[in-house]
Amino acid sequence: MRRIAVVGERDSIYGFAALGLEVFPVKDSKEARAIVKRLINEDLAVIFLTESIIAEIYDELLELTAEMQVSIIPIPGVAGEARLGMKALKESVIKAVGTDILFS
Amino acid sequence: MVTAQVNPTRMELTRLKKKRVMAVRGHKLLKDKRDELMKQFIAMVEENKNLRQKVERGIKRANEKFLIARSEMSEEALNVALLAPKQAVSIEVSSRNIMSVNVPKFSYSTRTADKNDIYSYGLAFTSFSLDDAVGALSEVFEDMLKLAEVEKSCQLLAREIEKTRRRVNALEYVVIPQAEGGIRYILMKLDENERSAQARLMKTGATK
Repeated sequence: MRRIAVVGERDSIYGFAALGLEVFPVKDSKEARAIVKRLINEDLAVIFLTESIIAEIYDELLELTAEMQVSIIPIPGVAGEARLGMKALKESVIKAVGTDILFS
Repeated sequence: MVTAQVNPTRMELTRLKKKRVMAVRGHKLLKDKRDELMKQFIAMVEENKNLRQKVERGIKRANEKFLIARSEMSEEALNVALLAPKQAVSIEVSSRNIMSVNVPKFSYSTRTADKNDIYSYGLAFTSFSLDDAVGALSEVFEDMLKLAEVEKSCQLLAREIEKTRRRVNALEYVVIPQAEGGIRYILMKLDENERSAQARLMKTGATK
């Protein structure tokens, strides 16, 4: 049995606590990085991060977890429209196919 | 085309020929693998895109509802209401094999079977908007898990495709031409040696 975590600014994630997910409120991406680095060594399967928090550290975390089974997934938070998730998806398409076939 | 330095011997020729055969076979196999991976990837990435749009919409809607709930309740009441969740979710991870890439597959289970256990607070001191918000979030949760599964799979597949493509290209543009260049060089050198031996013999009158 593996667990699911949600990391982000408090206002965006406290609702997930009611669903029974583990929430880790953080203030900035530095704090988030420390928490995620600790979490990926535990038995987590999925870590959701809000976009405003993850923006700076997403590439680093992806690299870190590339060989692991844990998934790092950006989700939109209360504030801002980062569109990071789609951007990351586009990048992985370009990486695999060589050109952007998804949004052209 | 830079050819690696090879000794013009028959043994080397046999070795290079074997190497070429192996490289050609590996190239064909890897090319097939790449094509199939690509096929799977494109189907999956389409699904990923749709799921992500759906999840982002759903979370946005839930967040709006939470905002309303927050405005109707005091900070403390809200904290208390969400502080002690009754429900807990854990997931079972199995893996699926797509062209030797192990992608995760999630199946989740909740601690209690009752769907209403996500409303873990008394109804007396909370706003009904909170029910609405939590409900909206729980609706999108299943898609979130699916998204996690598909997105991770896409990342893994993309990596594997990139790796395979590099291998295919290395075989096609480096290993195979190098082997062929080496073979041609040895063949010519051997022929040349033979001719010069022949010429020498003819000059000395050993042959007619």
